[in-house]
Amino acid sequence: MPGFDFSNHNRNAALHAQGVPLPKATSTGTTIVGCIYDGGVVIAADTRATSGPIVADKNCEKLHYISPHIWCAGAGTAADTEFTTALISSNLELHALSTGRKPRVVTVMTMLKQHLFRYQGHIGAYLVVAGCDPTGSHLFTVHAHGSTDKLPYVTMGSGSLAAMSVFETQWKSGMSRDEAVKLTSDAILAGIFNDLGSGSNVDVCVITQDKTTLMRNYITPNTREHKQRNYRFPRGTTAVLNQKIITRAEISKYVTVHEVEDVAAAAEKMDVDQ
Amino acid sequence: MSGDEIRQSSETAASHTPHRLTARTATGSGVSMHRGLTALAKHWNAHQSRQSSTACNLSSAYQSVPQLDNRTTFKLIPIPTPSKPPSWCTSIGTGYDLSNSVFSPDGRNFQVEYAVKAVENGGTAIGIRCKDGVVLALEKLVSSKLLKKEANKRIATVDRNMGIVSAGLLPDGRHFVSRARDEAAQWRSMYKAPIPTAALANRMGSYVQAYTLYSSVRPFGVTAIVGGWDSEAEIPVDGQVGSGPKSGAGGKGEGAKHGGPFLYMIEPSGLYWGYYGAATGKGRQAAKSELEKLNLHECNLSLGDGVKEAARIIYVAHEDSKDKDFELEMTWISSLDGPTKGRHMDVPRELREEAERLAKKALEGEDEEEMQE
Amino acid sequence: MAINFKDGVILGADSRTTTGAYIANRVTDKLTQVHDTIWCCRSGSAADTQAVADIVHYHLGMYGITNDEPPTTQTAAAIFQELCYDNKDQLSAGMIIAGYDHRHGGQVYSIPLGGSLHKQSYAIGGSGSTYIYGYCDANWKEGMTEEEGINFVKGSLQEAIKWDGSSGGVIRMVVLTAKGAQRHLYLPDNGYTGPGTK
Repeated sequence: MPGFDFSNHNRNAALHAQGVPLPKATSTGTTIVGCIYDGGVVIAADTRATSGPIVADKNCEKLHYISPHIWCAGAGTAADTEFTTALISSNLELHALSTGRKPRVVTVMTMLKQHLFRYQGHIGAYLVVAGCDPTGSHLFTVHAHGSTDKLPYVTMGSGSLAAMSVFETQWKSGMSRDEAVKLTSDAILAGIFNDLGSGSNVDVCVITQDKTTLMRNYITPNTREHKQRNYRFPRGTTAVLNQKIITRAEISKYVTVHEVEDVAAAAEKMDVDQ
Repeated sequence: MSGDEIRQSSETAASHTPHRLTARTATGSGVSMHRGLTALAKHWNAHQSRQSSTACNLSSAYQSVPQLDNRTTFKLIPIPTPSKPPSWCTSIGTGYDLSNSVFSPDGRNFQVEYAVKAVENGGTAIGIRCKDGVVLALEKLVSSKLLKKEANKRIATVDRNMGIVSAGLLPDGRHFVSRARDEAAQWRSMYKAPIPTAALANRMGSYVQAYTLYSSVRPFGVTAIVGGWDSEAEIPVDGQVGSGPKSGAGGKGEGAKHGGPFLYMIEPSGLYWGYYGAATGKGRQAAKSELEKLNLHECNLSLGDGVKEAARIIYVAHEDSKDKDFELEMTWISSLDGPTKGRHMDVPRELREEAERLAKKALEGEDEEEMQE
Repeated sequence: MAINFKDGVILGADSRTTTGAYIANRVTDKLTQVHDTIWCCRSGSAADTQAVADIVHYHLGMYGITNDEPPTTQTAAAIFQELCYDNKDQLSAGMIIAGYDHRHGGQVYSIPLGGSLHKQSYAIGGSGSTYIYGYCDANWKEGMTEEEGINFVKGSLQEAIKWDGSSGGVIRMVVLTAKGAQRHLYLPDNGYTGPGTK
């Protein structure tokens, strides 16, 4: 298929056949949710990025900017969600300049689905697109193969079942802003605590016709607590066999010394047109 | 006629080349060059028509000069050059007529207008839209006695239910038909149904117009008359299996009439209109006045009568080139329950000969024209 | 499924899309409009059927504009078939096209996986259709009234939902007649009796 070079994949497969363990892509194991309320839409996500069983990033950002009033939560392969949303965001800004109008959520949905369908699912991006535009507030899901759904509340990612259970019991139409924020963060917390692929903190983004509020680390239920004891070894635990002291003045005999006064001044200044 | 025409035009082109080159380099002398060219063209035309006349009167081209020794020597006396440009050229091209796609100061594309002249030199072609079908007829001027009668068919079929007759340069006509067939095939492969005549006319109009946009090509030297019958019945989708409920489709609107006969004429500029009756070529003026007398817009001419009228009109139009021999070619398309069952076909020989007989009779007895019922 | 009835056609579908054993959307709208009175039922891969329906929607729109007359159900069926057949290796799409126009009345066309075109009096498709072939064959009548038609479609879909795990949710219907397109919705909460057209 034009557009994709699978030679790296072939190399990996060949190496793996010889016994080399396969490299693991960073996946956003993830719980992401979206919910329409009376006055706008709110989306939320956890902040754990995994690489196989290892946590690669304890506090990554899964809420992506598409346009001032359209934001997108991404699950699946982290690189794919990051770059796909960045590409569509860039194209959308050009589109908005060309039409002279505020961009619409359906436009984002269509651009994403047509892009992803072309790659037949090889781009592993599973997205929740939400926003407010002149036609109202909208919430969509986009799957990697290119199918879309339009719903009043959605969940995606490995923690989606846990989050959906919260929605299905507590969602009602016409919620207030606080209710909606509480509901979505509860749904994410369900994913954080019950799904191994999700964890760390909750990010929330509330979008209304006039304003967008990104609340990064809205809830941090997993802060590292203070260590119970001091694990510092007292001086003398390790026996000293030999000691040589080199003063600052003598050090130039051993290494080349370079005085750096001001880090900011030493850095290259950017050429800016006046 | 066609072979002769092409030979003549190539000869004239060859002889024109030196003139063309000088005309380009000396735009000031373009006026005189143009006159010279027209004069030369007129001379050749006159010469050609005299040569192919059946009387073959060589003495009219050459004036006999009596000599003292009783021999009659022939000397070629040239035809006097007209003192002003021909009547159709009210504004001289002056350099705007040398290239295609160039507008003149008074907003004309001269190449297209010259293409129309090429059409006007061709045999008359007409189309008549009757209430239950379309008739296309062509006056084929016979250029050589060696041509086999009824062999070289010029009215072409496009997708079974449409026919195209063109007047003007024959090769251009063939190209036009070839493209029309491609368009019809492409439509059929996409929509799995025959192309409606209106859609084909639209596409061909756009295609012909494209040749007026670039100086690297020349416009089509044909005016094509496209006649077709769009089916009034429900055509199944190509390749469909099954036919739906036996009692027919539910909720059909009453009295929804569809399909019917259609006739379009496309000119070298790409302009086209839908017509009840269309005529082009040498005898178009006579043909048009005859068509107007038929009151075709009232839509009560039957196909059978249409065939007879078409033959008669061609014979009337042929009066303009009376001295040449011609062959009548006629085709027709009828409704699904008519004689051709919706297909474009040649008019059967007996019918055509009958129509020709009636046409000849009508010409001979001018006052018996009202008996053409 | 889609059926012919006295005044036109009726399309009906369930509302469940699954990814494996998880229901991704329990209120899907599988009845997609491709022109004013030409609709299609989508079954198979959601991505494939949505993409195909979008392309046909575009082509029919262009046809209506460039040809000065609205496209017929035949035209829509032809374009669907061309896409489904020419790309049969890449697609997993079973479509049922149904439309109404004044000249031809109501028509139902079925395009299964291979891309063949079948004009039928009624058509069923999808995973739940296998369970209702007998039911439909026994209860089908030509020339039903609108109410009979709705009850036939509803009854068939109820059976399919009952027996097939991949079918469920609400029953959505669209009735296409000279009056235009009218949507219906029937919830399982009250035994698929309402709310109907509201």
